[in-house]
Amino acid sequence: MRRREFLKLAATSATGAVLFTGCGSIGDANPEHEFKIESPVRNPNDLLYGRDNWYATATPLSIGGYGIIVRVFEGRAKKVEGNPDFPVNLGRSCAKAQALVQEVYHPDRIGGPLRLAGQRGSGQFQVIEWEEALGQVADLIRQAPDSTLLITEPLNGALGAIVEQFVQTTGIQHASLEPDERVVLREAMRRVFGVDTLPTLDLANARFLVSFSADFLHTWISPVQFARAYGAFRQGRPDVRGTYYHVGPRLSGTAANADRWFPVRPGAEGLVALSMAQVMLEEGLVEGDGAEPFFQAIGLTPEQLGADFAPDRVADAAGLTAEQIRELAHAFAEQRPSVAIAGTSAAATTNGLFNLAAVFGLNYLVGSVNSEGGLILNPASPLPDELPANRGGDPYSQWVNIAQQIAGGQIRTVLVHRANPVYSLPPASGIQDALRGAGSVVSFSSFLDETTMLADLVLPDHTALEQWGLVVPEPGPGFEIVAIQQPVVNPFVNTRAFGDVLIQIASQLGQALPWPSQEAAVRALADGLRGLGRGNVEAEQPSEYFVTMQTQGGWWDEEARAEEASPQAPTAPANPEFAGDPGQFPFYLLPFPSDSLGYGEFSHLPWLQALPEPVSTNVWGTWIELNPRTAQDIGVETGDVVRVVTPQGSAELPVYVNPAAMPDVLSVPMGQGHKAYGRYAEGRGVNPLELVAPQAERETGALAWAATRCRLELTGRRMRIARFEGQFPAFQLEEFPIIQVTRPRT
Amino acid sequence: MPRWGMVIDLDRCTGCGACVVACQAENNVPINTEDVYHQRRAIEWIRLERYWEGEYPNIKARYIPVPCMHCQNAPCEPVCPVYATYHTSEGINMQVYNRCIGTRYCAINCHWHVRFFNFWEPKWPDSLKNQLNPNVTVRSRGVMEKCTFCIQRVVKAEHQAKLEGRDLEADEFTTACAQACPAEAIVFGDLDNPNSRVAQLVNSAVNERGYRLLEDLGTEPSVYYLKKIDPEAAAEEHSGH
Amino acid sequence: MQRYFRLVLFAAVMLVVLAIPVAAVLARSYFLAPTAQPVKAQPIQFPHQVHVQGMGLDCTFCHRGATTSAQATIPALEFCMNCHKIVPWEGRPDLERLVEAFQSGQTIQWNKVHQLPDHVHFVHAVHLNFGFQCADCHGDVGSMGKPGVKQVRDLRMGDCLTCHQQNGARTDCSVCHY
Repeated sequence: MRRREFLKLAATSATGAVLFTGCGSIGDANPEHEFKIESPVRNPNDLLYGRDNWYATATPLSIGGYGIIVRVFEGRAKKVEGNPDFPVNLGRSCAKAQALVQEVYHPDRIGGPLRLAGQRGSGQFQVIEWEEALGQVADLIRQAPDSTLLITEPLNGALGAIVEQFVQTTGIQHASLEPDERVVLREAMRRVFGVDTLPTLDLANARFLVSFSADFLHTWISPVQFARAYGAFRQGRPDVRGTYYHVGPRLSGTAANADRWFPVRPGAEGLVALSMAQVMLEEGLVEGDGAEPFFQAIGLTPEQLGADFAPDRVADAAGLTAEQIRELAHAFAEQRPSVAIAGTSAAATTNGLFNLAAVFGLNYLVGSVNSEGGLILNPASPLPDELPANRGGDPYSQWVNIAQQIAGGQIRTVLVHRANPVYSLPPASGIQDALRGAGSVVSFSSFLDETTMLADLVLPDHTALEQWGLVVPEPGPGFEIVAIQQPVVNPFVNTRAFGDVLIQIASQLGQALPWPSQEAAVRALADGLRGLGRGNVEAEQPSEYFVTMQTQGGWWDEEARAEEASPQAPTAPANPEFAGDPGQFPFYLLPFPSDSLGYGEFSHLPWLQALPEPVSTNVWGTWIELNPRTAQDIGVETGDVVRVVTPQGSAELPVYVNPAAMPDVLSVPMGQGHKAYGRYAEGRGVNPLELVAPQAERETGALAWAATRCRLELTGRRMRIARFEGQFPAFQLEEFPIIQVTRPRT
Repeated sequence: MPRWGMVIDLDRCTGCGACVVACQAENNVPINTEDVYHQRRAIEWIRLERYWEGEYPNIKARYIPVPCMHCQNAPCEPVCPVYATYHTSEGINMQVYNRCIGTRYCAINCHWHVRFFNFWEPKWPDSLKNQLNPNVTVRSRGVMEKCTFCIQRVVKAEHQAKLEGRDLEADEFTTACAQACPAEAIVFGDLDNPNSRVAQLVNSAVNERGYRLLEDLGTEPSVYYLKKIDPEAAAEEHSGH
Repeated sequence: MQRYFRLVLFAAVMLVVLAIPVAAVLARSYFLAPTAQPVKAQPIQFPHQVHVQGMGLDCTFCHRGATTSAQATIPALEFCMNCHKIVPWEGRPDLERLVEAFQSGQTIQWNKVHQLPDHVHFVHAVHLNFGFQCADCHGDVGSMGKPGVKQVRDLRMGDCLTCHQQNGARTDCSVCHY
């Protein structure tokens, strides 16, 4: 290089450097925008510019339907907090509710109605007008209402009412999709207590809690409600600290809080519960005549229980010692009020219903059903006819039927709203192939999830913070309650509320629904609550009543509680059955719902993806948990990639050595493995449902996703697991540990 | 003048992570992508640590949420060459972003590892920027950031009280983490106001359980912990190693 | 001399070339007094003079947030139209622009005159409540007609701090920076 060239180069690069810093943006802001200030066009009465405006609304039913307030500044939703007036959560909230704002402003939200432009599944769509989209859906339904199926998440309240009316007037079919162990839980509630609602726990007054696999502080039905009660259970009373034991095959995020953890074989929860009952009956530790409903619930005679379920006889099968079972029985019987719950993987084995029935039945033995400090049953909706209760999801076996009907052409048009059957059902259900070949698929999703990718038409729905609704929280706080949902911000993109869309389609079909819009439905149904003449809202005029209800976040009546419960049908004991020969497949494969991503419905939100799973602290991926001994025997350590082989299929996953894993139980989190669903979810990890054998729970037909065996094969490869642990080197002083522990005061 | 402090009850904490997400939502913390975790540069003003104790089957996993301790005698403050990290008169350890030149001395001197450096320009897709909190500065590349005890909420409450011509009431407002916490494990307030819950928790008899993290370093943290209770713990046993 | 002529020429050219980006950086920076900058062009040449001196309106009549919140706020077009629907606008380009924007639902994007950086949080309400007048910082906006408002006070940190010290206000960094 000659001197001149060098100087030229030096000059340009120096200038370039200065120019670059001079013109580059400051921060991540857009300077163009930063130096502007905007005059809005309208000045609505309920919006103050330059100030925070707080609006009360409710979370969607999948997060429990509890009351939240949202901070809105200059027309943008900023922050979600719990509604302090709302009885279910009293101002508390959870990570998922916090992340609802990210759904509104998600970069991959569908901006308006779409029509398939390429081959089905290609993901090529073209933007169309709402009128065209509505007309096309109306045409599809008009052609053959009988062979049209509407798939939704479980719905209740106002949207439930609209959907019910729509289904009745148009004559289409309707199915609901929810996590399968929820289906089992609903059936257990029906059989053991004769109620159609999910229960709550009066932990604030309980002295002892035993949870059989139920992840009640993180994923099981209403974690916020239970966590609030749990705080009071531990430290809310001056003299009493509640004791919590956990029985289950994985030390889950919830189980880590237990005073004692009893690792049992997957599916053995019911067996342990019966054995506890046997001890209690034998030693005369049963409350009053509690034994009678208990035996009704499990369909055994006292003799049979005594003969087959003594601790010595079941200990080996459960993986505990007889002494441990006696200890559990004594703790449960002697520290009253005590309460027993079961769920999550306990419901997802082939004997799931029995597990739940046996455990929930234990509450009869200590007189804890519907009593202070016990299991509190929830009453039905306050307006059972107008505001329908959640009809619950359809079990896996029903979905297999539906897939066959779609494949066979009996169902030609499939409408899907806020459900993602292609992802949520295992491939063995055949739903994916069926939808691929279906006559027409219409999705109402706000995101391009796996099911929407197969759609011919997409009519995107508003997000939860943009629409009207009345939601019956599930589970409620033990009395009648309805949360009101209102739009806290205007729709961010060109979407329409699902209820409005149904109403508009119905009117195109010439079968008008009783309300002109979703908002009108909410107002009319809220007025029905006024007609009851009770509850927290005190106002005479309909408009004043509605506004008061909006500001308080809902309607509730603390006096209206569930009536006495009694067992409706027995559930006979059964042993869990696992797919795969123990010789060939030595391990149990135990999927578990992710603490932040749930069953995969929250995988598109970056805050939740980045939130560490509490026990492993892993983020943004899927892993398989191995006991340290097992890992040593196989010769793997954290980060080694293994091939997990089940009778159903195989997948490669990185190992996470979890010191608390049972030696023969390999846990895998759910929630990842999305093939679509936006930039934050797509192409990340593995969906364990692709590995589980399509075993059904024997009585309900729900998917038993914890009933598969597996083996491991080495791949010799390694990968880094994105993990929070080790980000910050722990600094410790000798003698002064980070977490200090003390014994309870005596 | 108030003296802000926090009490975290380890016996209530369930490890749910609501505080972590609430903090990120309130304080414009950049999204911790997978790459950021691989680089060990995740920013969590409050984080949830998990410690193992014992061996299977007698094993325990214990949680501890760790925000900035807001030490009254903070080791991060004297080492800053430009006085970008300093103590407010209300006991909050503050980071002045516009003053920070990114030497990272403060982070090195912090034993709790609660100071975070912006190795990259924070990035959000355009639409997600609509969620950003206008009351909190978006930190650019090259500056430290840390828990501020939600100072924007402190300032707002103080201004509101001033406008209404009154003193701040006890527990009139709280931080994002404490407000979200479903088990009410985190309590924030004025340590000098005898009516505030924090002061009551710190002073009352319950507080045989009180301790502070790495207290023996003598930095006088403003965050108090209440010990986890375990019926199986030995009389003087500690965990967390 | 001949020998060095080209080098000197090169150096001179370099100086000029380098001066351009430096000037560009300076022009954007706060080292240059904002008050020295020309009046910014606005989408509508709003005459404060007509509204304040002519009509006798108070500042807070339009800037409603000033006494109660951090932002003084710019009124919504709907608010302007409360009066302007009866003020004839034909043939008056600025008013035509307003009416057109309102009717078509377009917002007006004003160029900020008093621009504080992102890391400064100024709260109007507490300053007004303390007894300051709008004019103390903004100057006599009421007498500023077209083309628009001009910044009259320095409003850089030194200016803020001097005033805070004179009036016994706190000078903690965290009063404004967080």
